[in-house]
Amino acid sequence: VSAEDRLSATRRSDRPRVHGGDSDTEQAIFTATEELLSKLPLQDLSVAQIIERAGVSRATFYFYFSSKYAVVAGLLARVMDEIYEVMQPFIRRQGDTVAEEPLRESLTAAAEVWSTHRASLRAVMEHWHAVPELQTLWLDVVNRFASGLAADIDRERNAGLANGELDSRMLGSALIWGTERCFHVAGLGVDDDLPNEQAIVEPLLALWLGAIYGADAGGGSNGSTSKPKASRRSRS
Amino acid sequence: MSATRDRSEAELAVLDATHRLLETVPLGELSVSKVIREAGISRATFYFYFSSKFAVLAALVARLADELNGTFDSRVSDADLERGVEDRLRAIAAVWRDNRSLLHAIAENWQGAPELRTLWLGVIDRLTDLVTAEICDVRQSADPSAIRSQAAALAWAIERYLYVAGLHVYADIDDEAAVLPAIKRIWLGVLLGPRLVDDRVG
Repeated sequence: VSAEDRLSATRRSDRPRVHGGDSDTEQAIFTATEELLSKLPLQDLSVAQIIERAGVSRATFYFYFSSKYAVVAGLLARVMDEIYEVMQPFIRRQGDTVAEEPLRESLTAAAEVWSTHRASLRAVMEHWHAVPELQTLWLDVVNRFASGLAADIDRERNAGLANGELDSRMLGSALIWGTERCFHVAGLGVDDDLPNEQAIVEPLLALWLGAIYGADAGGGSNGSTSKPKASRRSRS
Repeated sequence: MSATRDRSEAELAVLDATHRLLETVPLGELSVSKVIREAGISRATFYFYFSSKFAVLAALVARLADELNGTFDSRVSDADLERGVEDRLRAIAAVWRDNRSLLHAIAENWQGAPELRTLWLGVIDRLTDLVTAEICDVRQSADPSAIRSQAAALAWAIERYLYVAGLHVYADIDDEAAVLPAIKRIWLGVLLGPRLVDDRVG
């Protein structure tokens, strides 16, 4: 941690500004930071490099952001908003459609957004455990996705379409954490079994459908009578 | 390196000392000097057995991978799949809990450290192998390549749950035991997955 980062971290609390990235300057800083992160890890990135690439002054940078971590937090918020948006086909689907297709569509779109912003997300995944301002934001993001998914699971169960006793909130959280991990690993390209973001859409789909719609396994060997209930068709 | 051969007392002292130190010292600050002081051995003895601190971590990870392997010793039976998965998960969570400091250090550092990356990917790959074999066993007719990627996704998901549980920062996943029902559900979903599709088609 550089002296500059330490200094700016102490100022965090008096900079409650929310960065929507709505000014040209903020946009220039976001773009410059994303470009730099695709070439070097966050720990090696300095504010000096960001302002040079963005073509803004140091004073301007610190008017908007308290540190490089604040920039990454702003990037994270924007990217995750985008992913939340593209998950809507699944979240907002009509009750009488099969979940599989909307979910595939949503995960495919999420994979696309993730791969586009891979470098920024990687920086978040590798640093949130140690950087308080990233941690707070990241846990909020996971919570938001988990709550949305839990509400969906409840709706499906109430409609008699999904079964399972497990707390929906717990299941939603588990699926979201598992999914973010798989996207991260796929983005690194280090595991041949999960080579890139698009390649993991089908395995993730299997995880989600199995967890949400799979039969409870009480005695659930092959040939069990308990039927998974995702087997509805759209009323077309 | 064979993880199962008998180790000398000095080697074991190094492994135990490193294991202990990791509970309080971040990996970046762990040095061979600290290890030999904690282990009460000479520098020469250390370097007789290990080339670096990463070699010690490799030995610790190899030991852990063996324990992980051991949790898959028995086959899950078709008759009681749920129980079988639960037993596996408990065993995996126990291995994780016993090695939490080491595992957290690795989980947080492997991406930037090639030596750790190889080690960690090896452990995940081992878990992927075991789960793949298990799924193939349970589902008689399945496409092995599709199964392997599902098993890998499950393995990484489990790694993440246990890590997040150990951090105690996220209310729903705050403890290695509390998260087991959710992992069990997901694991069973992967194991029984195709039935969902078969039922729909049929």
